[in-house]
Amino acid sequence: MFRLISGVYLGWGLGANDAANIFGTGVASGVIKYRTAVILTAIFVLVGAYLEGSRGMETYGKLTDVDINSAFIASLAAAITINILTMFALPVSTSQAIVGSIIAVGLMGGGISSKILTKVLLSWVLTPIGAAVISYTLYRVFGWLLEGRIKSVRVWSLMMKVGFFCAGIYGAYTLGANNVANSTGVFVKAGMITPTAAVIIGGLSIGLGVLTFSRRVMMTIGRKITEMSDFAALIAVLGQDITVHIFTWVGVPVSTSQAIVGAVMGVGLVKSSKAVNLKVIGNIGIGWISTPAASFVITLALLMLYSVLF
Amino acid sequence: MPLFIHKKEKHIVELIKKHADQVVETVGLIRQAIDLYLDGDKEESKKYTKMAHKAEEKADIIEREVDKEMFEGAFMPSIREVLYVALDFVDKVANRAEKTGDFLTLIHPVIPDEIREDVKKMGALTYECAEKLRDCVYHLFEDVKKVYEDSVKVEFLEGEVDKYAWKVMETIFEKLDIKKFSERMMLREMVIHISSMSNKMEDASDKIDIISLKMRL
Repeated sequence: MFRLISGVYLGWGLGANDAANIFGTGVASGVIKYRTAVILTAIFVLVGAYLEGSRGMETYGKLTDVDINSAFIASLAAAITINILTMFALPVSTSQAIVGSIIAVGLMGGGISSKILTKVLLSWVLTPIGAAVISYTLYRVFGWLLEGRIKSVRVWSLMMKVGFFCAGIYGAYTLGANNVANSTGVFVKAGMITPTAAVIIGGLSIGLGVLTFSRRVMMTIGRKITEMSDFAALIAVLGQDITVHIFTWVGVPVSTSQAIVGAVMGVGLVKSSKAVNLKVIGNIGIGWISTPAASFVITLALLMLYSVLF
Repeated sequence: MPLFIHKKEKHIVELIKKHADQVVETVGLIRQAIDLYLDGDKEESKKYTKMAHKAEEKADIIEREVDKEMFEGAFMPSIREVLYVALDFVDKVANRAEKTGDFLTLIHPVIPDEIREDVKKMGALTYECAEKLRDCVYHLFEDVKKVYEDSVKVEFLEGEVDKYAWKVMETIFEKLDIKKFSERMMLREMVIHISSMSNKMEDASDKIDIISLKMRL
């Protein structure tokens, strides 16, 4: 069971980093207290993981065959990749790291399902694009519904607060539902734990990351998003949540960070076409390649080392 | 939590409206004090100035209460921040009014007949301007679309007060034969005091307008 440590570590890192995309705006702008935000995130990540987390695990399971040792190595390599890329301030995604590792394991073993791999790669590309389209549409629709209809600052303020609160809870739910497979998914296919145990352990690890280490990232990301208006920030978070939830139904774990970047651009597009930041898009593109490539190489290296040693 | 916030914010809104009422009352009392002074009833004018002092004090107490309650987390932080500033600017109107009354009561400037009516007109327009500022505050919580119209009216009335101030200054320095320079300067100071009230009102309405802009999508 000690091999599960790498999955737990991966989940912990995921929670520490990705909670920022959910409640970051609310916490940085002072709408929600950090303590309340992390407790709610930890709870709803677990709920989301438990209720809908198995879909992503099925996808990873179909991607290739893994045994207990390769599951451990894949998970460990993904965690190392994330640490290294974060150290160099490169764009990184847990979903993309673990897929790179699984591909390496697959190539060294029983092969890769090209159909599933295509589905996964397509989902990565569609995440920021989908988030941009969804948040653009949400902005237009809610803008049309609300424009001129709210007469009081007090009502507006209350609506925004409740909105941030609900979007945060929904975001935590979708994070758990979508990303839990990244933490413990490979161990299910290896037959080490049951899917139920995997979603609970994965959900708890992500929750632990949120509770213990998310403050700094949350404030940094949150402050960047709160440079927008309250309404735009709320729509961006909601756009991200819906996108991640859609990909949960598709069964592919995706990057919440790339979803929020796409969502922010979508909101920005309502006002100006200049909102499309090519540098940010370039960073996402680099992430699609560099993260799985790095985890692929690290997994291969660890697998070779393992075969030499044992 | 939303229900708790709802009740708290509702109370704060009532306090903010009450504060605006109190500021208008202070300006109204000073307007009366100016009129009485110009009519030669200095004792009655002094009474009104003292009443304005009390009204201003009440406004201060309400402002402190609003500050305290807002600090506990009412409204969206982005709105709370500007609301603090706007409330402070509205309060400054009462402070200016109080100082205008003090000037008349303590300095006793000699008012030539030629400027009496124009100074009275300045007082009347200033009060009208204060009423529009109150509408501005009320509409922030009742019909935010009207805030812009109100602030345009405040700006217009401030301009009108300035026109009269200019006219009075011209009379003091170019038309009247006032021997003592100190008397001219005292009259000048009085005009500046009166017009400073509407200047502050314009500043306050600008801040309130920013809050309404924050609600634009």
